[in-house]
Amino acid sequence: MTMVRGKQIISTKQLFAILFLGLMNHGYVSISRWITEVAHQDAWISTFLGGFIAFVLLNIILLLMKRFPDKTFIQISDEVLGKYLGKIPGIIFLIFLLFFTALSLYLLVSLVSAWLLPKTPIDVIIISILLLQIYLTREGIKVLGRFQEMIMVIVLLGMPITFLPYFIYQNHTLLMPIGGTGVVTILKGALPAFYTFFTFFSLLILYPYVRKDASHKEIVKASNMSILVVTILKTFYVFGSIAVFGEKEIQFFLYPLLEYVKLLVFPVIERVEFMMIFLWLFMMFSGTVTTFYMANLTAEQVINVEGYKNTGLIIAIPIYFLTRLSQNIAESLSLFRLEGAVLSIVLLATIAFVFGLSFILQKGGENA
Amino acid sequence: MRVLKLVIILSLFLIVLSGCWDSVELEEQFLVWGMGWDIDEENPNLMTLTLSAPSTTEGAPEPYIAVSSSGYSVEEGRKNIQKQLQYTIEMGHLRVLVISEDFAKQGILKFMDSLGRNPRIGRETKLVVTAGKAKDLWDLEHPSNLLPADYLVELLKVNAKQGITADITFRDFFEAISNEGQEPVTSFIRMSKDAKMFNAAGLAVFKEDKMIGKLMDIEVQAFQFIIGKCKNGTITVGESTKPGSNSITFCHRRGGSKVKTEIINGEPHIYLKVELEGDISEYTADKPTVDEEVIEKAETAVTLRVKKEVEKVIEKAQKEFESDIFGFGLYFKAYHNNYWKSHDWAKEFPEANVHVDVRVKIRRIGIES
Repeated sequence: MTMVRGKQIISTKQLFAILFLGLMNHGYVSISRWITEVAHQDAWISTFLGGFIAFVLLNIILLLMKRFPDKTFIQISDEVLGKYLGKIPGIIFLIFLLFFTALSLYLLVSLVSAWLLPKTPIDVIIISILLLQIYLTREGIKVLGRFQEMIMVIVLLGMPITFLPYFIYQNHTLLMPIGGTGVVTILKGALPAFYTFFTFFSLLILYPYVRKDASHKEIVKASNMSILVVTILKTFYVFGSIAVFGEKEIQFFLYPLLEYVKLLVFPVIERVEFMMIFLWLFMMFSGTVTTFYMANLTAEQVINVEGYKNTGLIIAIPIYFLTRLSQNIAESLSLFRLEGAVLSIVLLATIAFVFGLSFILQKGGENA
Repeated sequence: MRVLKLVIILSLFLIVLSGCWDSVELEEQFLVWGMGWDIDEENPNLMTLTLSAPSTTEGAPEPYIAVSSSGYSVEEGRKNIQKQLQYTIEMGHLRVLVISEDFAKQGILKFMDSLGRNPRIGRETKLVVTAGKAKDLWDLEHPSNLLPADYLVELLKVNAKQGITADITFRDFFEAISNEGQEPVTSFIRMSKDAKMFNAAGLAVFKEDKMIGKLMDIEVQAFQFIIGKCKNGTITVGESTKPGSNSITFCHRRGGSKVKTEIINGEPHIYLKVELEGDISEYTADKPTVDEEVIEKAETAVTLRVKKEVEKVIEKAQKEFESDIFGFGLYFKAYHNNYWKSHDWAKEFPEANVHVDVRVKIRRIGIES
């Protein structure tokens, strides 16, 4: 059985960056709308709960991956289920990643198209971004890790600006009554919130690449730190946007985050949100690159050609067509919910099945 | 071969990333600063849209251009204006939207849609209702400012800082109209008789999206005391022009309000506390010595005046407008949610019991005593 390639190692710092950007990317621009639609003024509690669910699942995944420290989920399923049956979980994971990347890409493209390049054909924007993703992922995870580390610094430096509108315009009566929507509604809201934390699944692929250079404990620390920071940031942002706009007004916005920063008025800088868009573009792009790379690696490991440099070119084709599935942002939001509901259940079931079987067959861990 | 590949890839990027689809030269743009809405004079079913922009052509005879056209919606009006222009209309710099009083009375929300939908339009754009026609505003010849839109925006900003008016933006309007328990207001202006100046001392009061009345002068100040946004301004008590009378002017520099709500015997009670701090900026007595006694008397006089004005405005909103422009309903929704769910606040507000408590503190008396 092949193990991860020796040259491809990332540090725990890079793991933190990849997880942080991936977790932040998915839905950050629209999260307050998606969740207030369900949980109204209590959406921030749902967001926190969504992060907590992701935190619990992430730690379960970490425990399971500890049993196979040098293998990705695809390689684990090969070992547990055998040469042919073992491909099925890999294929399911690949389908999930293709949809996930396509949807994240569409959200990124629609933002660019609506705010920055309204006259540029959408295909040109998609293809440009895909070309850049192919280029960035050609050299493997090491280059990707360094890229994400650099982007994380830029994003973290710009992040405090997004808190300013809350401190200037907050009206806490808009958050009241806290818990007034009821436990059931808050829990219902936690589900779409959880979908926005979905990229914690990256650990199923990334774990062995970090494990070469770090202990399990260090990986647990970096992963938990990333999900904790993102949960706090997302919860505070949803809390802040409800306190500024109120849950009703948020329903009018497709990109509440940009409406939120649009409130800032600085001397000389007329359009603050355009500066902020570049920050989100970095973040969203970084998030899509991670899932794009994972789709590459999954495909390579499923057909046992790991290290082939042109996988990106091939993977980009289905991603392009899947991205074109959404004709507009409203459709993509429906797809987001569908994808979240169906794929999360299928994926969680697949992961549970593979690891469950590994326990029954006593594979991995001390028996490996 | 490797270099050739690189050149081809980079050339491809040049084509797709140059942004050539979206580039528009500044001189080719009609940079809209001001927009006006009127009911069409010939066909009342149509709206007349006016767009005002500074001239971007070098050597243009006028510093700005104002073009009007009619349509069934803002976008249709914009398209009809475009027919008259050699420039591309660019809305990203819109600074003020002026709506005529007649138009505002018919309801404005559906017409605001295109402005909220356009990502280039800022939420800090001012929203104003004008007496008379919005179309006429752009003909104003102010002696010190060549651009009417610029003059209007600066006028609102400066007067809002002094508590004389409130510069209401798209953000304020959308927030008030979308929140249950609050009704919107906008700035209200009127042109001077010689058509050279605006008077910005008013607020247009709305119920849902229809204008139903206005608050003028001291009422605007009282409104701002109630919502806790009047940090600066002056209040004069007494009439010094009358023989034997004198007046005192209180200049407030800090202020705020607190609202508490209760349900007593099924009835809504609102406890409003207004606090102001400031200076004496004028005392027109024969012997203008300001001692402790005068300060105490002045505090009492200003307190009574502010209380009276605040109560008058609340009564006007309750009885005349039946519109909760202060957002008291937000507190009932937040803190008495069961009451909120079982009652229609629009019907309850006119009958709500409002208890006003005003505290005024004089901190400075100028450099004469």
